[in-house]
Amino acid sequence: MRTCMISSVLILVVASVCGAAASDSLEERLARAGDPAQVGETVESDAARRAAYIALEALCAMVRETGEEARLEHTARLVTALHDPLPTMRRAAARVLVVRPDVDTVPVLLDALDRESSVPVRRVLVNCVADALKRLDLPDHDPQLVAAASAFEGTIRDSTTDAEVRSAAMAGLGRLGPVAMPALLRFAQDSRWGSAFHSQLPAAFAATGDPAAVDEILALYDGDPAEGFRAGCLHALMTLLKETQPDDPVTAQRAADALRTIALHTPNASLAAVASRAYSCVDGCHADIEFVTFVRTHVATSQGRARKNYLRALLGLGLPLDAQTKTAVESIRDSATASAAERKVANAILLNDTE
Amino acid sequence: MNRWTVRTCIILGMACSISRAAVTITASVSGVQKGGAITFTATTDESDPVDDVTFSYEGTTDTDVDTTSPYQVTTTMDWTTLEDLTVTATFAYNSIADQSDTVDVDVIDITFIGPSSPVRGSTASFWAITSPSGIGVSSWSWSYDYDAARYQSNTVTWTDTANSDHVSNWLGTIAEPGTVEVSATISGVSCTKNASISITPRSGGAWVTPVACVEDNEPNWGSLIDVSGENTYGQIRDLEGNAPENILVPQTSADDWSDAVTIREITLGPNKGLFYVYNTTLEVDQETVINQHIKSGAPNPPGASENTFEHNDASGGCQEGEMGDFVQAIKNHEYRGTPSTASSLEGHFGRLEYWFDNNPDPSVSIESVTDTTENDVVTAVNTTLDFIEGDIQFFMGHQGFGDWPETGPNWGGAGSLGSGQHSVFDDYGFSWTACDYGPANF
Repeated sequence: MRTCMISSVLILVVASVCGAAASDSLEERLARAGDPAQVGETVESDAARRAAYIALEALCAMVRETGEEARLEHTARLVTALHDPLPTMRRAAARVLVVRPDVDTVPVLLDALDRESSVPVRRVLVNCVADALKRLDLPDHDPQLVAAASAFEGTIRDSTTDAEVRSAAMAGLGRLGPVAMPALLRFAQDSRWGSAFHSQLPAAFAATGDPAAVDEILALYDGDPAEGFRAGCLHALMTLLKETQPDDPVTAQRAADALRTIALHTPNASLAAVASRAYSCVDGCHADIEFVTFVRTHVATSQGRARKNYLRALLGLGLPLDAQTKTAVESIRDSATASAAERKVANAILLNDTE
Repeated sequence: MNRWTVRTCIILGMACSISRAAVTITASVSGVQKGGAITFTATTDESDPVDDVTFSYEGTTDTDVDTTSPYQVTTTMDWTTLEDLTVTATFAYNSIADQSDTVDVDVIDITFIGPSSPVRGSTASFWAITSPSGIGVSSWSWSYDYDAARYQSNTVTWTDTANSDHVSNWLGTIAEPGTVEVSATISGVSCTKNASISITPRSGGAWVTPVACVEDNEPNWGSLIDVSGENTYGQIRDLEGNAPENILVPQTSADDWSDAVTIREITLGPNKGLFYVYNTTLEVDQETVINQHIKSGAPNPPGASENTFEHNDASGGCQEGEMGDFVQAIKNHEYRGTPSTASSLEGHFGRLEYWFDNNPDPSVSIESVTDTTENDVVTAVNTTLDFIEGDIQFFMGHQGFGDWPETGPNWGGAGSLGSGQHSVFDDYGFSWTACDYGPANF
């Protein structure tokens, strides 16, 4: 019976990975995860998924907290679990493997990606490869990064790849860093792919942290007047700013200058708000009096989504509130018409102001 | 020595040893913390047989009786606190009158006052007061042991030597459960009190993640529908960043939620040195986008005289008169299924809502994160949210789960909204294909 198989798979994997290192509370959780009563009749039922989630959470905690020797033992078993007949378990094994990756993790995941047929699991595997490489913090052009970039590009170009997986591979490609820049440029400059990935390219360029990304993102911004697309470009500049701010001040400054110009001078109120929120991530922007005044004014006068972005900018500035701004923020927090997210940000600003 | 005997000796000027029999009571210690035990021993040099010895105590009617020598009781001093608490031993003899003696002992305690389950992030104020009150104390020693095993050094200590006061107060922001302990030497008695402190998680307000999705939000989104099969009909994604992989925001770059939390250091009190999540602005801010080229009013594919919608909707077309349903089905697939229902399992956003209905709120999941550096807190928050986001993403996916079958009411085969195949324009052959393109990429 399938139900029994799910349970036994869970128990087998969980128990073997668990070993003697589990604390009482983890054992309790694992017991719940393997409880047949909690596993539904259908192979991938909600209950089965939930049970796997609990098991995964427990496994992640264990792998995080166990020593190197125990981790290696876990790793061998998790690699085996990548071949489990149940997609949920294959996905769980991949997620746990990247909690503490080593040099063997990425080749194992790429091999699994190559053989995987389930779309959601393929998507997870792509994300796991990117996660693992990020955590390994390898030099910019390490062979593992080159191999992953090649694999992701191949996955995207493979005509049989599902759109979700292709989208994840594009996001993952950017996360590989500067090594991905040539592949991204190839996609951007190809009319077919450039069109298909139009809205994803700014984020992918930004994630690379490559100095050339500023120009690519700004070119995309200038080339498409659609507000939603441009908002994505501004968001990408914010990402680039964050990625480069400590180590590459020149690139960070170029991104910051672009954001400041758009924030203060674009006639589009929505984009000005998005740019302001992004520029508020710049170290030291709280000393930019013109910008601070601009944000304070617009918190009090803007509406809806723009107002939420100005609130986030104000939160990012981290300055004490003047009386007028405080009144405006309080009124948003207490407003029945403001969105829940706006009220939440307003509340955070006021809480921080009391410290 | 029995005071009555001494007095008699002095008044009568007689040798004490021949006046009356002496009875004596001694205590094993001069003082004890309330709840501690003292052994009292009574002796007599009277030759008359002893029937019994009764030990009585100031402040209680309880007594202890011993009938066999040595006359000794061990008493738990738990009914009061008092300096110079008098304990009396009374001998009852076979033939002569009762005789008694007394001894004074100190029963001291610390009165501990403080919350047993304070709310995380609140100021917890723990008080220690001498009992009896008003006894000067030169030094109070406080400690707080975290329950969390992850802290290698998990004890915070503080010594209060101010004012030699009978009261000590240890206060500060609290974030981690543990055990608080206070000790002091009071009237020469070593006293210790401890209490287990649990933490009440914060709830509501910042600890609820707003979930929102704007439907069909960008009219200009999507690339030309062609024979490549690589065109995406619809998508659900983060509204501001246009990122399909991002669900929990603000997420400045992949898996970086540092902008979603405010971290505070605790600089005072039992949790001094810890950093915790002071508040969060975490939210879900999604949008669905539908390919502009599948909608009515879309531009014609290059080389074609009609657009994809018109061609398929026309009389004799693949979706004759039903292309509107086809587009609506794409919308519903991305949003809340057919019929549009909150938390529907038949649409991506509905599944997201369903996940939130049936799992701990992600904001709550990071509410309890603490560590000894700000970076470590951010890392723990990122790890937690990465894990949660991965789970949400997996659940929102439409394949591999029995709860989103291919035969549902939306886009689910014959009879469902938007069923059937359609034709796309082949820009290589400059002609429309047969009805062999269906809902695959969405």
